[in-house]
Amino acid sequence: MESELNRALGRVDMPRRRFVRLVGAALVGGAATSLLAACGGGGAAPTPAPAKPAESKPAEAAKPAESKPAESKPAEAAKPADKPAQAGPVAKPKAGASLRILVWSHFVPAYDEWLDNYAKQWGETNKVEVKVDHIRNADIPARLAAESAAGAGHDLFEFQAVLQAATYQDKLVDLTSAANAVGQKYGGWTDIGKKFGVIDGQWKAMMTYAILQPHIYRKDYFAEVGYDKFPDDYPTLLEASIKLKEKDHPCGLPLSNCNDGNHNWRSVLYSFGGAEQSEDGKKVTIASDETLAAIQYGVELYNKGMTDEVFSWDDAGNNRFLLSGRGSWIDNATSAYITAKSQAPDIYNNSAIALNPTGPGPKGGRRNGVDANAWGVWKWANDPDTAIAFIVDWYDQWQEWGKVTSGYNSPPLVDMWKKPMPGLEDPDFKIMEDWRELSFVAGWQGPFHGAIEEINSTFVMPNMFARAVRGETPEAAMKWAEGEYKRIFQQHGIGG
Amino acid sequence: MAALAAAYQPRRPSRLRHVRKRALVYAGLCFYAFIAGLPVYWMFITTFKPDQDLYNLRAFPLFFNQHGVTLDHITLLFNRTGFVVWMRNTLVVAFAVVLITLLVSVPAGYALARLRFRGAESLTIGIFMTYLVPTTLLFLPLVKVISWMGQFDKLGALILAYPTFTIPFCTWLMAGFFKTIPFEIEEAAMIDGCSRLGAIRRVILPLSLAGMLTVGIFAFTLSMQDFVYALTFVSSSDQKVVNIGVVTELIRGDVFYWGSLMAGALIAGVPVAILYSFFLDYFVKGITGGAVK
Repeated sequence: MESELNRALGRVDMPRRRFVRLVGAALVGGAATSLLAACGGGGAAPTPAPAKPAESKPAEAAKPAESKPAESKPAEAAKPADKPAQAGPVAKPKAGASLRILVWSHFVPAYDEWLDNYAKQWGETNKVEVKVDHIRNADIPARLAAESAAGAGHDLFEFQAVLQAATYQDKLVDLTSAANAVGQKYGGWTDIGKKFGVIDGQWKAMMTYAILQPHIYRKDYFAEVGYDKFPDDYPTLLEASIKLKEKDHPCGLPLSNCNDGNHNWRSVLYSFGGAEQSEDGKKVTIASDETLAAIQYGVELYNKGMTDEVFSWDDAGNNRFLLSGRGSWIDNATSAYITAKSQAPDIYNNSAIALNPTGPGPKGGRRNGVDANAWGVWKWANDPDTAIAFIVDWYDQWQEWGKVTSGYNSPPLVDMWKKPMPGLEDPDFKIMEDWRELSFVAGWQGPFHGAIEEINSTFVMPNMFARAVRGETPEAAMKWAEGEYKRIFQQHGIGG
Repeated sequence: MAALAAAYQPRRPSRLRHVRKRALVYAGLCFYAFIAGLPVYWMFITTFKPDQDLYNLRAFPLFFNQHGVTLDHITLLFNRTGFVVWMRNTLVVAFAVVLITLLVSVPAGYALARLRFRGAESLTIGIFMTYLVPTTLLFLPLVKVISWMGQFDKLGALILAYPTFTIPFCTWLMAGFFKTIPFEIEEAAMIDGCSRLGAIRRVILPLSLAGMLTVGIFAFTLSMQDFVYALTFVSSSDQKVVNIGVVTELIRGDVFYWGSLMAGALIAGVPVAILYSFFLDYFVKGITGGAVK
């Protein structure tokens, strides 16, 4: 049987064997050349270091912390929040050093462009070779695991939503002095800023910005069922959602293992007054009447307002849902709303963003579970002082990164919340200027310690709601969650 | 009697039966081709479809819709990302891995198939078993080795890491293929004055071309498919391979640039598709070579 190859070769009068030999020789030659080139670094020419590197004195902030036991102590974690911020010595960049930075591929491409340019200019000014790498946010934990195992890689990196400061505490530089200096300069850290990344009294990570999660809704669909604005409380929102589903415009909160599921259902829980742990972070408080009420609400909202696709959503699920034109409301970062502007203008024109509704009951309130990012510096950084100096300077650019992200990067320091805030000039975004008091990170009412890190990364919160929705009683789902919380707390050496 | 004989005459396949049989075969093939080709078609149509139509649930997804065709996704891919560099890196890594794999798995496969030493059979199975260990378990210990070798965050990391899963499989494949070549041919060459190496070079290797091509294609494909090593060993934009590059730079938070993602996947799939279609006969021969021993 004549092969296609034979037929092809027959047309160019080349015997098959000769052709295969030629191809083989080309492959071997090409591969050998490329192998040599690749092992040398892929041909990327390193930037020559300045001839005379200036001497630098390691600042206190750059001193690696003493090795600590793996367990975190939440009571101590809260200490820096109680103290007035003290200006500490801020590290200076070392001329001739190199700085490799790992960040997520930001939702707003303009921010990545800004950061790359800013880092380049900062490097030129300080005679530091700076390189910024961007990867997908979901891949950051795997990458950090690899760098941690290798003891090599980047010098400075950004945790995205999944904060692992407690996990890597022994491998992270103590940033306390830098955090104090930045805090003092900008009127102190916000409540969530103070809770994020402080392990055993040391700042192992510094919050870069929070990502607020407003409700994004279809004005036209709500008007169709008799609501001229987004409901201000959860019971009214349920009523509206039932009517909307009857018109084939369901709502959607992910009941799956994704980050949006984590903070969406935390918004519901916190607004109903349900708390995950005590203020000192030592006691699990998830089993409460408020949590039960929140779960019952979630079950009703799902049964009467959603469809079963929410079980399969990833972080982009609710974005697609809104952009499809079918969804009536979601709880998400402004990304879904901003994306609609270019990808589905009709939907954008009929949509708006709204504050989180208020929860019922004596402990109820308006509380929004948000994502937050944070800087971390590996102990094996080429020069930790240089990394710290970069971080401190980055906070000074807050007006710039506020503008380029249209307020998507929500600042972690008090003075940065003075109105008008950069990037929020658009009337649609004005309500986000009042979000500081509404923002809560995982672990409310206590600190974000190692056990909460694990609870967050194993999606206990959306699973608690999903169990109830799938048929377990709300009591059983809550009991299961309490068991998970206590088990994880004990694993981290916290009473529970 | 004549009527009886006529009734019991062997029936010749009628034209209708022939057509029906062919129709069934072609229906099955068409169904398979549809299933196999749908993802590729989906990539193609998404590459050229405007966002307004991509997100419109009322628009039929398998055709172009009211907003027609756009080149925006391809423009974005080539002008706003490092796609060309990623493709180059991918090919560099893939060819280097093919070379290393052939250099190791061909002699290893020959040794396992031909040299009669104790435990050869068990060793062959043992080598294949290492292929079954998932990369998600191996990447953490392997990253230490890569780092120790000074290749972390360089393409060299992938060139060193990928043969850890291509060589076991390809060695097992080559061992099976060598067993199909009658030992007498090699023996005859040695009687005629060839050394063992000479017999391998002059007789065995030319006869094993199909097997070696199959191994090459496998190694090429496997090195283009990996995600875990590529993600964890390399993160510099200028060192990324295409399967990581498109994902890391075209998925921004919870926003997916579907058109450009599909364009990237489609274009990256072209070299593999060409390779497979060009050497299909060799590939089939190579993969089934050890099956009828």
